[in-house]
Amino acid sequence: MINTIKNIFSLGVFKDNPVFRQILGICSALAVTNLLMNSVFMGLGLIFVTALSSLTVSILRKYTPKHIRMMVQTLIISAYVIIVDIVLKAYFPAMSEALGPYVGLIITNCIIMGRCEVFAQNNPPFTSFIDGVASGSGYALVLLVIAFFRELLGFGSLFGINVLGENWVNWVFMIMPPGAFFMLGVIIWLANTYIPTKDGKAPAAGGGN
Amino acid sequence: MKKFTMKPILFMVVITIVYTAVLAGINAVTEERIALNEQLSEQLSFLYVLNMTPETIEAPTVNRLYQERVEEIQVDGDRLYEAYDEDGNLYAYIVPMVGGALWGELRGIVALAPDFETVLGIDFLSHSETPGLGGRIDEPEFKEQFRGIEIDPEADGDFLTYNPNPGGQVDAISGATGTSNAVRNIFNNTMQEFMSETREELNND
Repeated sequence: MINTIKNIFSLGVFKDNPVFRQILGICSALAVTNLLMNSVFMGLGLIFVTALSSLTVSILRKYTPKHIRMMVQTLIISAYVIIVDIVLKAYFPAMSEALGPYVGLIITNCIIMGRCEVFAQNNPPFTSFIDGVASGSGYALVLLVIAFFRELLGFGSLFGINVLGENWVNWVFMIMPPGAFFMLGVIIWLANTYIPTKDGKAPAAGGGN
Repeated sequence: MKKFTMKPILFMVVITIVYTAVLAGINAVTEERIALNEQLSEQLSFLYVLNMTPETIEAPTVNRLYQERVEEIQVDGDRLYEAYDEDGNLYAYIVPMVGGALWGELRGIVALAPDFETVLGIDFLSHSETPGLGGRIDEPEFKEQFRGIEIDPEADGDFLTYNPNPGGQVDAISGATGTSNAVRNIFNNTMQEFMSETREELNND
């Protein structure tokens, strides 16, 4: 059991990471990573939604008629997203304002439906839940890495606390969307070079050698 | 041809009802809190433009101060607010402004001294400008510039001018020309309408 969990986490967070391996959830990964705090909340929101939708889809998998399963999944996912949205509005109004429409757009995040369809449909509830947490964490981890560099270079701060001092010249480029593409590209490049794939093959070397 | 069954439809109906009930429950529990949060942030904006932000930002304090200082009035069908100082003298008119900015609707408020010649403060209630660029209109560095700027009530549309144009009062945000210009236009349109129509009505009262 412990090994299964370990294996799921190593796949979800590194070897089969939803962002840098499956290239899913890119839209929000680019949009909310200009500040670390936004990324923390977005990551937590996604872990919550992915884990619970996978759990629910897995519990219902034997009773769900096969040809309407996508409809059911969408319904389940949107219900959890609405819960996240309401909770943010009620208890973290500032964060709700900062994330704006991106909370609602978690519904369209392909990671969640991907996990429901690929994993939760064929696995028992507990492992599905763990798989959701693992994939959500993989997503959150990438967001935090991107946001760390974007906030540090773009605002000279981390979690809103100035760390680079008064004389630091902000890189406006990092706050704008191109900065996010740039960071994401660098991360995918590094991941392809250094993190092994799920088949255990050595990472593919880039370039035409 | 597969045989038609009611099962998928029933399944969908049941699961929809269950989730709707759960969401309605959560909504009912948090509804009041959300409304209070929105009210609090709006009242804080009103106190901010009057430069009367209390030291402790707690709902009861803010609420009481707002009730004491701000009063909604209707002039010629337009909604605006009168604000009073500690002694109950008229301190300012607060005029709501609204208009299209770079990405969407921008709503804000402007506080004017009763002589209509001085802007006491400005704040934005809602907008959808780019975070880190146009979104910086929310930062104190931008909004604080408006405190105490002189405007000419008889001006024709150009109440607010950015530096370094002649007669400039405030700095625009670099890298966010679209948003800065939108703020200026919304401000000028609101003032134009206020000075030419509403002000006469107020004077007649």
